[in-house]
Amino acid sequence: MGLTDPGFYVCFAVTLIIYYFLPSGTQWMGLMTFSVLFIWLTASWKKLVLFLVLVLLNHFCAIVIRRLRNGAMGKRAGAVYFAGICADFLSIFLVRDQEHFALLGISFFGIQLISYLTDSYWEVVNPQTNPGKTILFAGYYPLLFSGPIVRYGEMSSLYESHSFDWNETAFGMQRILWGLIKKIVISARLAVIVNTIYNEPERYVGLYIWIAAALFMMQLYMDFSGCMDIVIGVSQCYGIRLPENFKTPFLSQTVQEFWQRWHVTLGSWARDYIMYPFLRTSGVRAVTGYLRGQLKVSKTGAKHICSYFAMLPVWLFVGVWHGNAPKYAIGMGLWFWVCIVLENILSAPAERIETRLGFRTDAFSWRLFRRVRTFILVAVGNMFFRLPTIKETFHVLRLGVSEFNPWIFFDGSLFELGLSRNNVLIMLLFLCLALYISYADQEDCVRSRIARQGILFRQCIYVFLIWSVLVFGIYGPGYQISDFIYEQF
Amino acid sequence: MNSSETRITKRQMAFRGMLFLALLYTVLYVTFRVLWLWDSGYSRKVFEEFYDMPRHSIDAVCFGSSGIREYFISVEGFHRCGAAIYNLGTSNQPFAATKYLIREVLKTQDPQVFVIDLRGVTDDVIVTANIRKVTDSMRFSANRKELIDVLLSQPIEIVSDETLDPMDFYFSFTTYHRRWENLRRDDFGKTDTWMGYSINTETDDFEGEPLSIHDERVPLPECIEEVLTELMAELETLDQKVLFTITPAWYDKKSWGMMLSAVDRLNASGYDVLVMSPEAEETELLSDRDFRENDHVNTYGAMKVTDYLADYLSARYDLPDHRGDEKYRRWETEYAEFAESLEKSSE
Repeated sequence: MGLTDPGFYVCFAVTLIIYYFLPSGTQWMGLMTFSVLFIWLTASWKKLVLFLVLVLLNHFCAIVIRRLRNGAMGKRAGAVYFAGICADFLSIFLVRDQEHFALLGISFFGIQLISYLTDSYWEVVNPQTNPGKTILFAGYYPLLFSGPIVRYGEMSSLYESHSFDWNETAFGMQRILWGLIKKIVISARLAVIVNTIYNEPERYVGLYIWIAAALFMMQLYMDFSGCMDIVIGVSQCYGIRLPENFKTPFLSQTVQEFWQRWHVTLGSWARDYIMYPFLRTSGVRAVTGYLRGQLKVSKTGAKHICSYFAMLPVWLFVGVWHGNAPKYAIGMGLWFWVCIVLENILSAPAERIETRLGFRTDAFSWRLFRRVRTFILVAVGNMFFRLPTIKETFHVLRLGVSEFNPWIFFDGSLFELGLSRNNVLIMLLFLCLALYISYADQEDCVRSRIARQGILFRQCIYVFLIWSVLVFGIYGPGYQISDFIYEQF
Repeated sequence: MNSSETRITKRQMAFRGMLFLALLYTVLYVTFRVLWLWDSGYSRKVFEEFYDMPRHSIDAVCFGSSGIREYFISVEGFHRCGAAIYNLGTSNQPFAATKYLIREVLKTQDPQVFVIDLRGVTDDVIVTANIRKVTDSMRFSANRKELIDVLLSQPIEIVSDETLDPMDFYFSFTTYHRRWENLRRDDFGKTDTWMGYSINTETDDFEGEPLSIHDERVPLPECIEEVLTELMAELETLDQKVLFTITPAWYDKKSWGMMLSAVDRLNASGYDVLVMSPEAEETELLSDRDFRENDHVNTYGAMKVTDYLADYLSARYDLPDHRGDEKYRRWETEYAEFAESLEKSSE
């Protein structure tokens, strides 16, 4: 059952009604039951058992760690922590790519469990004593699709009682609707063009390749952020707030900034649980000392060099998290690491050149240039993600520079990529609307702005959105709504 | 803004909810009507007008494929003899659908006679589009669901460019929503049809081999035999009279032989079968004017067949004459429009 299946929404509606009829203090049990049933029904009892074993292992590890720490047995606590973490990593990287477990969302609950165990070990949070609540934290069903990745400390609302709030529910429903538009109206159309080009790259050379690269970025954004909209909207209907995962990433002026705005919860998770601990290791401290003492590197320089090295495991993790094949480690990991390191190293000389040449770096045109540059760099990285192998990606990149064919923008060629002219226009219309809304949301939530309008106008907007999903959505016989791209992780 | 800052009363909530549902219902109702089945045979119109008929106002109903669909003009039949004989035929209507269409008719009508054309027994392959012409035109009901299940699971070969998922047949909007970029005048109800019949005055002169020289029987496929058996069992339970027909056309030897086999079975079971030969004098058909191809008449031919069949049904089953009856004004109005339109297209 996916987020675009009608069955999902039927189940969601039923659980929502039951949820608000449950007595105060027992709603979390309802959510936990729904989540366990969800895993059982969408996966199998074997996967449910695996899930429960992992969660309970982490639950009791956290309790044992706290007791050992209280008893001043720090080393033993460390051993228990290490054992728990190993089990979680094994579940993420070994089990998840097995066909039988692919749909379990194991990556998401796996890294949530790592953060829970780590926070308990670091004494940032008090371990949960009720195993049912730990099961709910790890298995809260909307999160199993694609995150966002949440921390135990920020999910207290999971266990609180919520009374039905019309506005919250309406806002949640609107967000779900908007997510569906992004997925089945925009992303599904973008996918048609991208697939047409990438399925025959020898036929579609030159600028076609770059169009596909740019549109795949858009597809990925619409797909993933649409999924997040649905997940966050579903949670909002239950009265549970989840962290945002996207902050207008296409406004980023550097690759580093891009990753602070794209899949925000993964980035912050990797920073807090991989990079910072790595920087605090004795090995890194020794390297810092060596750089300063033996090589006479300045304090700031040594700090920068160490942070670049500390970023390496972070980006390797991000790459491997996207998949076990080498293309992920290179395209989604090392490529971005190289970009970020170079950005940092070259920023000072670049600033000097800009000043000497008298560039107006505060102008919109300069910001636009930097945004386009960032977009291209990220799009290249994502080509590794989209294309089947590293070799194929380099081959396609070569085809991209093999011919300069700007006439395709004028002779109607772009309407021969699997979508009719009307469909391309609909796609562009909704794409612009989606990008504008993500931009406008920075200032003031668009839903709040709509909520301040007259009732009839508001309802016309909502009816139009529902109508758009039903009429313009790519679904039905002959079309298969593909899973959300990030659901596979 | 915190969305929960604005609290609303239960009355406001109910009002908003009702307003929203009313708006949504209106928009979706119009959308579903517009973005629905379109086919050159106007099958949707055939059913829509049937459902619009006042209860218990129809005297006879015809079922079948183009063998009846293009041969009988309901409004012309009414003009001829005053009986309300409704043609519920659709292009290549699956023969297996007949039983369920009879049940559909009996929900709102109580006709004296059912007319079932036999051309469908020659179809041992069905295209999904022809299944949809029936199932997508019917209203939602358990009968429709059962018909879909039967048609999709029958042993007859189904030619399809889509997956045969029953859900896509139960909820056809999943198929038709993408028609938004191909909408035409007809989709908004502006069709030049009269009880689903559209004028076609194309002609094609040809000389077929006389059917009378063939009397060789060709066995019906087992699956058609089964359907025929089931249909006869269903007809046994009804009060209505039943007339099977073979409408005039130059059939190939195999199809003609299969229909003769069906006629033998039906005669043996005591059913009436009316065989109309294209060479027979009583229908007055002219091969160079009344046919648009060897197995279909045009509107001129259909007028002649309709007149003949309407006279036959009225006389044999003593159907009432409703001409001048206010309740049947619609039939007269539609006939007047049809006649005017035919005159224009003949000029």
